[in-house]
Amino acid sequence: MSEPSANRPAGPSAEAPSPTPASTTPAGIELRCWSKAENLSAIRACVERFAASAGFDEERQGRIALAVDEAIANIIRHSYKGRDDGPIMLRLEPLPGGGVRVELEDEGETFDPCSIVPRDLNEVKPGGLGIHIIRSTFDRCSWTPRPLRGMNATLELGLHSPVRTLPADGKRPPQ
Amino acid sequence: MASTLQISSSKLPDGLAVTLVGEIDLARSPELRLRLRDDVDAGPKRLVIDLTKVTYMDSSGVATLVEALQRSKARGCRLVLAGLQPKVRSIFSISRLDTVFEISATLDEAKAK
Repeated sequence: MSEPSANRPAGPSAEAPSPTPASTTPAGIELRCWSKAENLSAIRACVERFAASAGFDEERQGRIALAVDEAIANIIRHSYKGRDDGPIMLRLEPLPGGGVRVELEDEGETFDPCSIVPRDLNEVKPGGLGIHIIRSTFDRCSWTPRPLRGMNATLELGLHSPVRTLPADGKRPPQ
Repeated sequence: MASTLQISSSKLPDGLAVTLVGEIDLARSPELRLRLRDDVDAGPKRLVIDLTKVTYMDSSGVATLVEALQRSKARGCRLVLAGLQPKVRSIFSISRLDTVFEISATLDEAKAK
């Protein structure tokens, strides 16, 4: 496999399937990887470490890692339709005043996660839970189409934000 | 560093105990789904899923267990989850499924019921 590049992800080879840090600064970290579900474990570990360094307690670290896992799983399933050769960029930055900003970029099909119908939590059926988790974890979530193709997701959580629960229908009240 | 999931099973007087070790995420859920489908279709009266050594579960894992629960109910099988760690239990709480599943604190407790 070639050396990790700051501009494009390393190839999906057997030698190095894990996400590669493209750049690290005192303020944040950027990872680039392919849309392989096998990368999720390494990404979660990285996100947990970053959340710990940002001052979140262990429970919140796990919750942030879970929500980022769900956001990337959505990219794999919906933007790339299960393809494992689509590039994904993850950027983690501290928020001014404390907290974390997560940015995700892909080059898949333009897909609005808000179009996913969250499962009514009063119903017992598989699926539709990931978007619940993302929305209930972060203070702010936005998804915008990128200029050529793919989506950009920005997720932000303040260090001292209260833990939220969602109404059963999964719809957040207007902020 | 991909997630790993080991699946093993042992017989109970009235069914089967399936022990899972590792992480259940989008990479590992498909194999678990197939395994549990086979286990339920084998016709046990009771299926205990031991999660004591499951350190992580995402929504794909929860969806897999919901499918197994629905399949079990349709076949007259009682499905029990045992030994959920706090991190795993929390996703059941978030999804309000902790009251839908029969949950035992430990595998021994589940076996004794």
